[in-house]
Amino acid sequence: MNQSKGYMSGVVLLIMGLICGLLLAFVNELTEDRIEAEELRLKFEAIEEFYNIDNFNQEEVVLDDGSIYVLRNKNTNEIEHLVYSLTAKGYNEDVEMLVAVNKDLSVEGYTVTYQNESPGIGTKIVGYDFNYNEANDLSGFDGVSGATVSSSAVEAIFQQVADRVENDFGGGLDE
Amino acid sequence: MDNLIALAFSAFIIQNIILTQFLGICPFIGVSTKRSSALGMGFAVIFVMLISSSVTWVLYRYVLEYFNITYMRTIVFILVIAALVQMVETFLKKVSPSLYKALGIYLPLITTNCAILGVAVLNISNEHNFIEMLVYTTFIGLGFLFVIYIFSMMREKLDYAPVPKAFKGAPIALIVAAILAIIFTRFGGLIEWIL
Amino acid sequence: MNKKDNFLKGIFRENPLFVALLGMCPSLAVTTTLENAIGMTIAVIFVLVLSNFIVSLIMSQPKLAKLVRPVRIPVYIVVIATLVTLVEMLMHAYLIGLYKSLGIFIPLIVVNCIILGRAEAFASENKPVDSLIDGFGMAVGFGLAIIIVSVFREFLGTGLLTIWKDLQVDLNFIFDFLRIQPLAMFTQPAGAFITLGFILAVIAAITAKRQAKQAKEVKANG
Repeated sequence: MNQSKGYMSGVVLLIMGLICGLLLAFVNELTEDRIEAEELRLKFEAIEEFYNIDNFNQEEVVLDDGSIYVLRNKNTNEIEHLVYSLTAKGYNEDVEMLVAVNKDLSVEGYTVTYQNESPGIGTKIVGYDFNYNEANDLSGFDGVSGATVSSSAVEAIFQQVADRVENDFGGGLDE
Repeated sequence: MDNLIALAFSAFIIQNIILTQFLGICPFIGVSTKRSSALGMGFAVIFVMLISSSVTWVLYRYVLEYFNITYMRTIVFILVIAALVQMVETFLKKVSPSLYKALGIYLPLITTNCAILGVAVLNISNEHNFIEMLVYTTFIGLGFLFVIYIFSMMREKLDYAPVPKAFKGAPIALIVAAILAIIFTRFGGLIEWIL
Repeated sequence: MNKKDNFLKGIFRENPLFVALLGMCPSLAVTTTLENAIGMTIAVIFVLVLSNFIVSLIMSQPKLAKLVRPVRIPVYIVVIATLVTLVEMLMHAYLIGLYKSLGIFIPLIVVNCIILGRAEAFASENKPVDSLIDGFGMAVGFGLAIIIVSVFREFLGTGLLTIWKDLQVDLNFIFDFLRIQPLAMFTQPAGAFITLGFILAVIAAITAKRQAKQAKEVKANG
């Protein structure tokens, strides 16, 4: 008698689980697309501070450790600007950078975003490290000096951008 | 390997589960009045954390992602944790009554311990692979044990200190925790500078 | 207990954070800004009210309650976890800024002892409408508590009060008047502990004074 009671309780639990699962599947269907759209909007919002993105065709190229936001001319579809979003690991922070480069390889601007001490909460601090004046022209890039935040990580990111930027503008991204 | 060392160090001190990430505060304040109970709770937490994080990680990667039902994460994780704690308790009772006596009473409290569910979720959201998950979880657990033990030592001393009446109990505990938090973050910076 | 008392007890006499010391993890973590605290309050109200209501509905059907009782804790957990996942999805879709700020503390509402505690202590033994009111009172009490903590932390830490996205109140003039800078420590973990510690101490002092007064009155009348 006790055993069958146990089974019935188990069945009730299972049925509840199924009902809840179906409910969640339903709501998931409804919200999936919106969530994707919102995430994309959040990413492109960050680029707004360099360029007015509505003047261009927007595209995102996903890399292993970040992505490149491509802004193409609305008429010729030529690449006008590239914004690199790359991450490097530091000891107690992940250093994320946005590096905005123009067609002529001049650096439009950059931001350094790093986690504050409470990562689970998701608040980030955006800082501008204005010691990187040497990074204005990436055609002859050979290093930067003087930083306040994990300088080696930031330099690595700038180097990464410098290594590939010429190829990217020249059609490397169209493959 | 370098990466794993940085991860371990970060999990132990800089992103310390209690003093930085604010998970596991309830047992931290509640169970830390005596050194023996702090030790018991600490080890129980490490044990449950390792098992539950491993199981939930495997479940997420190979079941939830495979069937594309990742939104079931919260329900599945918490049910798995509750079931695991129950199983561990029964297992301990049968296999090692002495160990059960030492740790067993803390086990039911652990189910609603935000640290357990929190670490399970963090392993997923930080996109750890299996090895990274093991290292991270172990050192988070050790960090928890470390902090709660130190804290219990301080609280035992506090019992004899002339604390103003209004501050007795939780308030003074929280203020001491604040000082510990400051020490930990600055200490972490010192280690980083040395390295 | 009439409905008004049922509601008010969650705010004053049995305030989940300040009196029962439950839900301290989110209280320390999400109180960095007023906006986060308000967001968390909305989420908790949604989950707690509905979970109390649903649990009470289930447990007030005698036959169903008998079946559920041996597995009632897992059942409560499934109900609460479902509600929390719903909140998570809706927030991700419509309030993505808040979703990113609150981070893992949204799914952690599941293990917030307040919700499971009320389900076991109240909703399983009382009528649905009463449970609904109890849930609402407790959630509002918790919300007010974390809002108070966040007001102190954000004001002392940054001199601003962020009410909702761009809606900010700039109170920096108070700091300018006192010729000091905002104390950034309050936005960090240490500040969280200190703020909560001091608030609890103040409440303990007030409660003690009130009890002393009541004891005096009883003596005088006795």
